[in-house]
Amino acid sequence: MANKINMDLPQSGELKRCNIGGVNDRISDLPDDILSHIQSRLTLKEAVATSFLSRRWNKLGISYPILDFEGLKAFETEVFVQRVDKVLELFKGSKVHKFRIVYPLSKPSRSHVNGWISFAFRMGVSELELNFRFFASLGGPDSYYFPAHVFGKEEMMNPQCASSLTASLNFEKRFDCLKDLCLRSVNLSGKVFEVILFRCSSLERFLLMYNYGLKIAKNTTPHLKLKSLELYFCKDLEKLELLAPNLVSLQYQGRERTLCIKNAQQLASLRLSVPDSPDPNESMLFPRGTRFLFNQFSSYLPMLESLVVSVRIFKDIRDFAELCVFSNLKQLVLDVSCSFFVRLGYQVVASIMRAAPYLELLEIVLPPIFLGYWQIQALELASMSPHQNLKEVKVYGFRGDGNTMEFLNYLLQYAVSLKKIDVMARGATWLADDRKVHCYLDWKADVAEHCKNRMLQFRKTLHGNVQLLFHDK
Amino acid sequence: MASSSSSSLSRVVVKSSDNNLFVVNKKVASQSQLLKQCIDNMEEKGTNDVILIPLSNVTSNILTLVLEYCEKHADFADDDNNNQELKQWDHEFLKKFDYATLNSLTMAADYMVTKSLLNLCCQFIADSIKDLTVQQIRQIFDIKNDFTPQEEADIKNENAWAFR
Repeated sequence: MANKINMDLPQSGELKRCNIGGVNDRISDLPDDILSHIQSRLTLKEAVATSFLSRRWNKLGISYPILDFEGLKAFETEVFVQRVDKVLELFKGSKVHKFRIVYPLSKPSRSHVNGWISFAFRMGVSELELNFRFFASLGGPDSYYFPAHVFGKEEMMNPQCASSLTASLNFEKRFDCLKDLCLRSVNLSGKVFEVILFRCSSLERFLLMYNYGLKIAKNTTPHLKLKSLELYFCKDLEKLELLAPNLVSLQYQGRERTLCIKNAQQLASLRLSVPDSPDPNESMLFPRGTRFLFNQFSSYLPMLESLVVSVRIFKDIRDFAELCVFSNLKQLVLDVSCSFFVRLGYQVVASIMRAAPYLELLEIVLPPIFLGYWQIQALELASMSPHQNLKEVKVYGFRGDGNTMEFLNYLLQYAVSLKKIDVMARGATWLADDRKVHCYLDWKADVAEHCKNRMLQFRKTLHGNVQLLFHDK
Repeated sequence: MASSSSSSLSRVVVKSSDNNLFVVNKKVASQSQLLKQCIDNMEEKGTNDVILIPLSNVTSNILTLVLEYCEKHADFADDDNNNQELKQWDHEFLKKFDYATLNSLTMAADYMVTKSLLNLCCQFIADSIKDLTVQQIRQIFDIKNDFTPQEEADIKNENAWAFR
């Protein structure tokens, strides 16, 4: 208890909106470090606005360590570039935690962007994100190329050059802070990919999307910190050869390519999403079809906890018995983006279920367009011993087709711990790291009626603790 | 005055800048790193006397508020920080004051090294600045616009995107 000895103060209830301080009656009387402290809790825009308040605030500049320019709107590129430059000029802090640009920039702004990247590294940036995408324009060979020169001279890459390495020790420190690097619609050469992995030894997450120029993505010195690598639509990629013994997650969306991950003993999350239309050059690269892609990861399958995969990858696998290795799998997302693969999709799910005793969550993404869903060949699924752990099933893009109904009934029979079935008429897309559930445009009245009836019938067969949720619009 | 027979102190006396004395329970005082440091130092020396800590920068009005905050937080010291009741209390506590009092409280929290109170005050002031125009911020916080008209025009021009 705090007992006041000889003062009579008003009770706290009477203090409402009354000045009992008296001495310091202005925010401007607060010392600079407290003002910076306050400023650091504002958004970048609000923080910049405080520099208009008075000379003192202007002098204080911005020391906010998060420079996120997403909210900065400018119709002309030149204006945008000028504004970013101005903010960096105002910046008085000693450390930038996050630097993020989301604006359609391309080659003409190169020298400015180079300057920003150098600035970010000089300030020991931990999270760097450049997103130069603009609506439909996803980038192209003429997009901005991530510069090599910010990392210094090339010979420093060679560990044998001990003297130049020592000389650049301080220089190295700057890149050591980087933990998270996202480059969208930014081009990158294979050389720079290698330099980044060599220089940024603390890098934990590396995301590349809509990238041109990266043909061979490899590193020669094992990267010990890298946990997550995400490659989405790297158009020129031919081969990935990664030495990252602590990699936990590999997310890949794009054409079937050689993806070689060596000794990643921690790999727990894998995503392999391939487009529907085959690449005309593919048969040349992989004469024996597509199964190679799965074979590349065969040694990792027993470790995976989460798998997101396109059905197309299983197209050439005849004997699913060889998949019987998912001893740690908890979450499976199967993307059936083409209606020809629906039957195959359910056969794959059933065989993975048999091979994955710890599977808890199953998600099936059905194709946006169904062709002839009323006359499909039966699934002919083999019986299995009761699955003890599967608790939740989600189906996106439900159209009441025979195969899906057959599979749902199969689940009721064998998934003895099933708690919840979530059936959604809405389809789902999973573009890069952005997952969306959206409404279909071609949701016709007869289809809706058909789905409703199917669900009504199915509901009658439910038993035990299974909860069925049906979202029809 | 409270006296203690055990080897560790149970209470301290804190003196405000206007010479008022406050008897403060040790657990409450420990919310302030400044007071805690004083107590720890005295305990190391093995003194049994009640110690007097003068705070030359804090008036008794403000000190009362800081101690009210410390007392409440000492009650919750063993709880986790996400206690909803405490958060609600914090908010109600600061809502009562005008900005001048808030300034003094912020400075006292800084001086007495009561970090959670300092953070709370800064967040509260920052939240008040959000969504206001520059002119409104100047008014509420009584900030004098000391730019020349030319300077102001230049600054507005350069950073127009952030201007409201």
